[in-house]
Amino acid sequence: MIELGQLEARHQDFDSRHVRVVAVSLDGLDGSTKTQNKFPHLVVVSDKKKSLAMAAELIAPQHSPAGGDTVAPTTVLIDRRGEVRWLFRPDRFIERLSPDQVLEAVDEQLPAGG
Amino acid sequence: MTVHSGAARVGDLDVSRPVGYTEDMNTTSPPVAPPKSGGRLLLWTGILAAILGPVVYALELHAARLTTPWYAPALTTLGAILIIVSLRRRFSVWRVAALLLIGAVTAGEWWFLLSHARLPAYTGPVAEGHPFPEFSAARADGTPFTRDNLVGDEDTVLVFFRGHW
Repeated sequence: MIELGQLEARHQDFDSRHVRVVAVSLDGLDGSTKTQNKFPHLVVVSDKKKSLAMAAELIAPQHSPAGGDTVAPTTVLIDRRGEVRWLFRPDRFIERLSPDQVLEAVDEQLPAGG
Repeated sequence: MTVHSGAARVGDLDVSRPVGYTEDMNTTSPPVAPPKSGGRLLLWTGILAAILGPVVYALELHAARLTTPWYAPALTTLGAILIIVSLRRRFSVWRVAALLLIGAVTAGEWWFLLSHARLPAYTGPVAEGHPFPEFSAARADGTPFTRDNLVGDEDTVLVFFRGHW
């Protein structure tokens, strides 16, 4: 949630680049609605059936604090044609990109609107 | 009659030296008491070093800095070493207990960063220059969110998030 808070705080920087931030978790709709209310400028997606996480092979089995499955924290840049331009996965699940690092990747990988 | 050489004597009394003089006064000084600390400063510095890592990491989290805190196990290790040195200066049950506790914390921190928190390298199907794989998920309001929603007027930063971080 720290990561989402940082991205929410910089939403104007993403808007000015015509980039939207889509935040995906394995939470159900109730949990995702709470997250969406907390971060109104992000697009919060519920992937309770793990369709998205499994398609991208991002499931980290039994790696949640409660011992269940969760997603490996990953950031993917996708251009407006739906083509993947960049993927980042940290070495450890406690690491995240800062908003500045994400914006730097956007400027580098999706120059002038992709 | 006995003839003395050197110091003059009156009967059995040596009058060349002050009254109360003994040979010991001329050759030794009173023993110096050993320092009372016995490594106490080392002990407390070690304990503080061990506590400092988690405290700094908590401050980093509060400041929304999400990096790997290598300094935490390094400081705890330093703390354990200082406690070992203090234990060599003075043995006590409390110091042994402190060493066992901080040793366990040190091992736990190294295990967490070197093993538990590690993520395997990504080997999945998402690849640069290729379309994102098909999927079917839902927005928070319940409306569908599929691969088709990645195509449009905007680029997308897709963030898979979890937990507190």
